[in-house]
Amino acid sequence: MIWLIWRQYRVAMGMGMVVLVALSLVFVMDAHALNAALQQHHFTQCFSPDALPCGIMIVPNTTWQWRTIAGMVLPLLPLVVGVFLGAPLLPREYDQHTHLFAWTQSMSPTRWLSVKLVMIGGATLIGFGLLSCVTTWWGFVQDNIAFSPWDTFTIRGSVPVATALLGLMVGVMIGTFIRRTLPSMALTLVLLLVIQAGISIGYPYLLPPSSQLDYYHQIQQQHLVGKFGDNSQDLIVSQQYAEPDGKIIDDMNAYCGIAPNTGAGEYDQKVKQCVNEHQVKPLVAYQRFDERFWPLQLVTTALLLGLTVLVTAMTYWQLRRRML
Amino acid sequence: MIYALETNQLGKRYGKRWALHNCTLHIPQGCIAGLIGLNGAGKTTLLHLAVGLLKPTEGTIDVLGTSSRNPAALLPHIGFVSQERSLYRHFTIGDTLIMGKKLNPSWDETHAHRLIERLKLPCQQLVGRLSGGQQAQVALVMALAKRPEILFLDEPFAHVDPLVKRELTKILMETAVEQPLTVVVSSHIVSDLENICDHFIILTPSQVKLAESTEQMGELHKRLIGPRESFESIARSHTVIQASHTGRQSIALVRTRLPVTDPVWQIEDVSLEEIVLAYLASHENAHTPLQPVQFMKEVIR
Repeated sequence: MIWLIWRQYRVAMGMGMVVLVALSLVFVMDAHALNAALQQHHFTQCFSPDALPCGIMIVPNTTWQWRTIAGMVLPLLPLVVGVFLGAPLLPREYDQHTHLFAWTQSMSPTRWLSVKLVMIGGATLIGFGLLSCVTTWWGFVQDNIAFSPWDTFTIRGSVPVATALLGLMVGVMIGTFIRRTLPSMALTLVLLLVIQAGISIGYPYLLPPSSQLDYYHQIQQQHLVGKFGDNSQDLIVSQQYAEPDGKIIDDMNAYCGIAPNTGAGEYDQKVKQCVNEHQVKPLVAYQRFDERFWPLQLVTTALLLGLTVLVTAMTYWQLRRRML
Repeated sequence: MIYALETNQLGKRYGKRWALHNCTLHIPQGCIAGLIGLNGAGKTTLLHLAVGLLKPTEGTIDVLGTSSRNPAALLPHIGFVSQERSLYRHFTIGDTLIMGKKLNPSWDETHAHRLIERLKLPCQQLVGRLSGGQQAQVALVMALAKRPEILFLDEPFAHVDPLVKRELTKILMETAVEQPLTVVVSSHIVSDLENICDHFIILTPSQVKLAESTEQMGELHKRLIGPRESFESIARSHTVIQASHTGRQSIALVRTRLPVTDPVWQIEDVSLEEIVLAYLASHENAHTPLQPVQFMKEVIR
């Protein structure tokens, strides 16, 4: 069976290894470039356009650094696993009728599926584990300067590994139910996009904020280091404004007279102006980096793995319902 | 007694349509049974149920005394060749053989290679590049090299030319001689099976019509030709499968254990093909007086 899986997946495995090595190289080079830049000038200059870039520039003379690209590309890798490895796993056999051949050798269909899942799931685990080691190290280098570690929450630590496993199993489950290759791949893509968006948006709320709603002072200091927080490594999970007498302002835009279609940079300036002018006090609640980054990683991972187990159980239930 | 294939009130339903219903069969070990039915009669469904590719909606199905719902125990003893081309197309024949060796503890490597050589199949060739007939041959080799105790063949001759068909039949018969082997082979063409099978199972849409040995079929079925006015009395004492009336004459294909004593009736033997066709046609004429269970008992005897 191991021979069969190797024979069927050797191309995919080769491609996976090439991608892994290439990505690792870029991450190592990026971290190296960042370290080199830090030795030459202060990190605040990383944000000025005429200074040396603090990392690998993907598109010269823009802000398109590798960290920006990585933040967009890496969360898509679990989708690739789900759509191209998971979803076709069973439908490809059904489409070409090879299940009639494969499942009438001396191994029962459920065992056939189990061995396949252990092997492919194991390869996914190892591949994403290695990649995550690289990104986690790279993340620590990034954390030394002002970048928010929360930007890379979904691509380092245990979260990307669990996301990839969930992606794989969601694909397999959908393939087991739909039994057609292309529809399974399409539905898997949609579902995984929803899951991925859910994780990116929802993870800060998996634990209650580690700080109470509190006054927020940083914004009155002159240089803007990270947009929010008295420590730029903290994540704001809720934000409100209060008038000087302590009354909470419901609609900041109306209060300051800011048009709804104002650009992001201009918006920040206007809010800052308004805050100074009216003596408005911002109130925020944080997930502090020191207290909550790794606990949130663990909680998110546990949630993803729980979903993976559920989806796997549904896969076996469906296979047994039809066959055994 | 352990039967090669034993089904009890077996049924498989897809949505509202019964692909197979009320199927009770007992096929003894060592026989070569032909499963005959028109397209869509449930032949493939029955075979897929037997090898554990499908789960019955109702009833039971046992192969060699083991339930088909326990494929782990059963599969090592079964050889199966599906109707569709089901080999991995991007594998070479050599890869396919390695797969057989890796997945089957009872794999007979020398037998496999002997058969491949005998059929002059190119080992380095990708399966997808082979003709339909060659793919059918490889599939049969794969099933035989498992050294199965029972072989299920679903329309094995559908894609092959007459010469290959003769060669495959020969290999099949030789295997059945050199090892204890039960074969269940399905087809919708009677002449494909006539020469190789010693038992027949006739399936009309979703129902077993007849299951008995060819000898019994020959003995029990007669064509009677006689005057139309005495047809009623014949129909009372014998089971009429098919009858046609022309003018004053009646021709009836009957199934009977009793001798026909009335001298006005001329008695003729009928060929297997004629019997089978009569049964297949009788489904439409609603001449269905016989319960399958009754035939099943005769097979046991």
